[in-house]
Amino acid sequence: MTSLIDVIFILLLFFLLTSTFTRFGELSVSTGGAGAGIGSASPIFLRLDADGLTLNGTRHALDTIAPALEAFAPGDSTGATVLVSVADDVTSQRLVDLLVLLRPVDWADVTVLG
Amino acid sequence: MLRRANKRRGRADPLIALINVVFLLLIFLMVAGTVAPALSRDVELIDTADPASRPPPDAPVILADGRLVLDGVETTAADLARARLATGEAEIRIVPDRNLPAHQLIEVISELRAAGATEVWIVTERAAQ
Repeated sequence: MTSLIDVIFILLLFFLLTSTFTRFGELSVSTGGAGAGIGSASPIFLRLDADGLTLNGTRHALDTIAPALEAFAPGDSTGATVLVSVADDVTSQRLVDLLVLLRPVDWADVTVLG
Repeated sequence: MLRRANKRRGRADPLIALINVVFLLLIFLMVAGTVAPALSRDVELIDTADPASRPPPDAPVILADGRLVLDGVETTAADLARARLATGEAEIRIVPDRNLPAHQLIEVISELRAAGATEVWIVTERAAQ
């Protein structure tokens, strides 16, 4: 009887310790490799660096980029290419932060430049 | 004598029944659940609030110093893409560390795509709401 409880307790401990409670998410990244063509005539350029980003040459903070990008929205339903280039001191976290902010912009076809 | 034996059984029975139920639950969880392999102890996942949720991946991690590690063994993007494509999987998932320089991440993604991956997904950690 006591040994049965012991076994159950050990099993319980095992599952407590091996379980993972991390909730994972995922997002797709498309990069412009060699020979990748650009669909639309006038792409929008985003350059991301450690303390902000430039949108077609104008400086913006990271969290105001989505409204700022709306000024470049094409009137029709064609969509536009947004080219993202990163400075050397940008971490993956920061790049993903930007990509997450760009996700709701449905007309933007985001390509990260390699 | 008879009464005493009865009394003892009456006290022990609910406990055994309880243990039986717990044991059945445990067996059920052992059979129904799967233990996902740990990714890597050294990787700190990227925090995101928004992206869609998914089950734990069996994916290579990219550590902050740029090393690509799958199941504890260091590998290269080309080898990884070859192994995944051989199983008929053209979408590849990677788990980069949050402190990995972004240009190194982009390099790995470009290599994977050059090796034949149709789509590359970055696995992140969903921050608590």
